[in-house]
Amino acid sequence: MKRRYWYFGALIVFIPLTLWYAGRFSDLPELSFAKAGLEDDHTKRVMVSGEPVAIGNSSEEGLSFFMTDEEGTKERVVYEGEEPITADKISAAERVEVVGHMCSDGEGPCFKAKQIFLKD
Amino acid sequence: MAGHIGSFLLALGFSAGILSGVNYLRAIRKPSETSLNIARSGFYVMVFAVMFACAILMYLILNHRFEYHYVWAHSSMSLARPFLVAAFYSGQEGSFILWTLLTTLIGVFVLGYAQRYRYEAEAMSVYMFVIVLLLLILVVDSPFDTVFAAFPDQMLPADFVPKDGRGLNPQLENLWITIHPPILFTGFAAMTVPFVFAIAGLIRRDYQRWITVALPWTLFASMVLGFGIMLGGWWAYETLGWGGYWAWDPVENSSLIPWLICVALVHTMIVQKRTGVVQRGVTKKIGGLVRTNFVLAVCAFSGILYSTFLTRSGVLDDTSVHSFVTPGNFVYAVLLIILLTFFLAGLSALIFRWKDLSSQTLELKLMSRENWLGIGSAILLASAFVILVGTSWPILMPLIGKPKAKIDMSFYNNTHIWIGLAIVIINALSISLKWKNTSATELKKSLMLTVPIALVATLLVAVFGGVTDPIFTLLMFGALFALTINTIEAVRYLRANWRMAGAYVAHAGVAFLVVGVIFTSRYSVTEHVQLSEGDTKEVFGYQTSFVGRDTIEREKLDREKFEFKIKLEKDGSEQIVRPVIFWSDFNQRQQAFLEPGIVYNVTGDIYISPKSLEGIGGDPTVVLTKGEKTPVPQDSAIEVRFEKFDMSRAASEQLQGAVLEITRPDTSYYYTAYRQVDGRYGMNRLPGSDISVGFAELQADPEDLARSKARIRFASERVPSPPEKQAITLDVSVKPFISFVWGGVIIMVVGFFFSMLRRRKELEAVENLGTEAKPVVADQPESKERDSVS
Repeated sequence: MKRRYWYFGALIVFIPLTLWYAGRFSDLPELSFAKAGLEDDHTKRVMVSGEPVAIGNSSEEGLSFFMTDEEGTKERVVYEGEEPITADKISAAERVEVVGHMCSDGEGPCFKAKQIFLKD
Repeated sequence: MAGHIGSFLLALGFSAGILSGVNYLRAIRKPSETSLNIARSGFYVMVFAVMFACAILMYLILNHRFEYHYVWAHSSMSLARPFLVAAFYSGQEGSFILWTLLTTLIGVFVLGYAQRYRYEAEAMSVYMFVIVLLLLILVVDSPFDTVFAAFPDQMLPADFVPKDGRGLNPQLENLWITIHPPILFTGFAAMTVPFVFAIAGLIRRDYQRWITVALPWTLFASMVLGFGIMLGGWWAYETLGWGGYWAWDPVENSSLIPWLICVALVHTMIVQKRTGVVQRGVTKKIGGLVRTNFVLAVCAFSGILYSTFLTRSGVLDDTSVHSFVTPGNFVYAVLLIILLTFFLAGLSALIFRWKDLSSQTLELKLMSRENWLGIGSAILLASAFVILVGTSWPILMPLIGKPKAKIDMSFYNNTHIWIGLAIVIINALSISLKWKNTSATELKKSLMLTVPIALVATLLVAVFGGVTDPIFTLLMFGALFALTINTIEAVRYLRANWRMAGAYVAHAGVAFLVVGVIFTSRYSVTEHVQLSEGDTKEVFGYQTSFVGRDTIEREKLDREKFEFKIKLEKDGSEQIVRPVIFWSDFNQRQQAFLEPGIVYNVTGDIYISPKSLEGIGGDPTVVLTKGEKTPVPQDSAIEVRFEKFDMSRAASEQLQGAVLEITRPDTSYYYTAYRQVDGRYGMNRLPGSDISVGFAELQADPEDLARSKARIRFASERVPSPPEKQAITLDVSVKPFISFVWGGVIIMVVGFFFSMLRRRKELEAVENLGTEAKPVVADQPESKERDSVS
């Protein structure tokens, strides 16, 4: 078979495969803390939006703060992301969206955030 | 006056560019020396107009002419001279004018080059329209607008001159801003050249020779853009404190996509060059991958335009940590038009000539180097496509009615483990193969030495370097296999003729880079630590102490900048690492700027990234909104509820009050704590307890006063608070073999440079002497039909 048909066939498979695979990494359900806690897979990424309250100091475990979600549940959020974010930046925000997952059983009640989006 | 001249020069350059482009087009239709002379004159007028416009902008910046909006927005009186120079291109309009200037200056060389190789009218007509459209953006979004014109709603007088400028973002005030953007934009500008020669080739029905002519420029563009991308990574690592060199940010990705396409193009051009024949500047036989090369040349240049569209149009402004000003609808539209114009024009030209090209097919043997170079290029394009999909995801989703979503970083990491593995294996395999065909015996002989060396090296890395994860071990084997075979070949060629070693040096650089990426991405470790002054904690075997801080850059009054001294002690030796935290007027001191401290080692860096600085200890405080209540931290039997603010004494006594409802098990009462408007406050004991309270802070919400908050401080005589101390929170990381990442890219860039010189020399030989099917290099080592690939 000619070389071009191989390449063409690979292209036909590769393009939808890439789009499908990319879709798996942008599928970000927007939940409340309570619903995030009910997820079977604790490591599945979810987004919770709400209002920052009681911004704490950075500690050994990372920058942490409390936030109240849309249902009014207050939960401690521990930031574990790579992009630098400071406590004063969070306290200046009116709303925050945190992306991550609920802490596992041994870690106490908290939400581990890999990304934080701030809305001024 | 100077601004008017600047604007006039941009308009002049734009008009002269159109005149030049149109006359070049006329010269294509009907060759005429008159048309060519007008076109050349127009070109040089445009060059001088752009150069003088740039000189005027630089003059305005260096002389603090803040009546011009661009100068006001990006420079200030206190800015040091190198950063004043950098202010020239640190803003939106400035980066466009830098790109235009560099494209224009490269155009001077392209003109001479195109004349020499008889491509002038075709290549320069396309080149002129690229510059004209860049100038159109500058005419629309001029860097010479005044503050008065930029803020029409502010009712400013026409001759308004601000006393000082807003200045440069302090985080950009480092060496890298003077180096990285000019190199990156030189790469952007150079990417125009392969595109114009491809279109010129299509116009002239010259489907083979353009490859030879454009190849040195394609290598130049790959070299410069690759180096520029690496400098961006180094800047992020060394100054911005991201913790790494690559974050798959849209701005980083959008430069990487055209670079990957350009590198794929280099390889497919070599296949076509190798399989075709040009004699004395005349095509005798057209090689393979002819249509692929035209498509890739169009895509590489369109990739640059798409990159500009992504980063400059504002479409990704909420999905990137890089921040760019949204330029307005007109510039957005112009950028989109430029992108579509060149992409569609390029593809239309190709479709127009498609039938001409359809007879030019070449079947390659499975085990030939040409075939594996083609497969390698396909893998590079797969990488570009994956990154393109991920980067464009926030644009794609709204098109199908879904919310704008950023894709997670692990998408890129997961896909690129396999793409990286394919790249290093094909890198090694293609070098092991001969041109045209390779028998199984020949391949076995070729791999007999290199595969065992790579296997032993992988084993040693697993034992001593701890790389035991199966997929990373496989990737490491691929990288070491490629490194071994390319190093052997590079040494062989460097001894005989260094120009011929370019491909091997570049491929060895890629392998080196992959080794560095494996170690840093999989085996870096980070520990989060909080240290108060005088504290010592053990981190990765180092006794880590916070020994003090120095104020630096005291002469700059717009900022408070502190260098924190972190002492690392291990086995009797000690080092001081100096991360930096500073606050600046640039952002009204709203948030701190953070810079890492790094101990550089060949085997691994110790990277200390500051996260925050705060006071710890002291009396506890609680922030309360109206109606909210809290137990007293030292005595949970007492509850405090914030009732309301009391501003009745604000005007007369400058006092603000917070009315608190105190609830004890036996009683409840109201108590008002006061603070002075200048921030001073006292601690007063609550009746019937040992608890004192103070109104420490009023956190006003200007949009909704009802949501304002009060910070209440509590002290207890019975439970004294620990003394207040300053504490710094740090991420301490060990990044093994990160030097291989930088070293690998530099080696790759050197390889590109060698190859560029080689191809330039070959071009001269082909144009003047004869066939190009066999490179004209007299002093190459033993001929095994395995000469250098790029």
